Amino acid sequence: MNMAQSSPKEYTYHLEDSKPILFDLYTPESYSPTTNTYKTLILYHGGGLVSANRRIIPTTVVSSIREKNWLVISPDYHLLPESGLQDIRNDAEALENWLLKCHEEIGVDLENVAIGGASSGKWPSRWRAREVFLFHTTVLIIYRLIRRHTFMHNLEIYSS
Amino acid sequence: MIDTTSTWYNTPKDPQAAVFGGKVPLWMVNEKNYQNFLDPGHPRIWDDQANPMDIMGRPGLFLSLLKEGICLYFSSALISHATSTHIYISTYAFLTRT
Repeated sequence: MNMAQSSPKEYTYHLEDSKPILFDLYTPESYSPTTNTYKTLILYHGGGLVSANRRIIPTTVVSSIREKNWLVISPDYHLLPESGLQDIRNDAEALENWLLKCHEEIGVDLENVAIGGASSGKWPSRWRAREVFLFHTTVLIIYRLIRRHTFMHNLEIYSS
Repeated sequence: MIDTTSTWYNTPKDPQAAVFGGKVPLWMVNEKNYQNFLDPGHPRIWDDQANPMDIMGRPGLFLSLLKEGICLYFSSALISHATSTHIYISTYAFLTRT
């Protein structure tokens, strides 16, 4: 995993004790949320559920959104062991509720939202996909060893 | 639940193992440095800004899991058996025992 190369926009999707919990939004080059909606990937970072942050995502994702015209949302979420797993679940639900409420602000196409995670980020995505994910979805699991063409292939499947 | 008294879990792992491109030998990861994370009242965080190369900091918590080679099991156990950190903490405490 590497730091993403493009500069994302930050949004607050949740608060804890008045402190913001943020997500990063990576956009295509020709980004116009007022006139278009975009397929969107919610991508949870790895780190064993105990470390890292939203900026630690695969560079392949950033390069792919430029080619595929997708949005990528990379959220922070509570980390163990100080927090509980339910806190992570709550974060994921809060993010989805934020998207339902504010999707027009960033141009999310609610009919085409995928969810996935890198390394341990697969767990929040699997929970949401198996439980009460609020959107029609495909789950993408991304590991370090995955190759770029494999990731792109997954996106092609989802797009078709 | 997995049998954590089994031979596999009590066998020392590869002493030559390293992370971060071989720069950090796993034997350098000292679990005693991470017990403070388990203290009740330790600040909750969701944006770990620590230097990943600082193995004395929070990344070491992750490395300590890798050191035991069971991080994947860890996650699986959490999903299957727990909705809180109880199993996580108890298993962690077991693995980091001295």
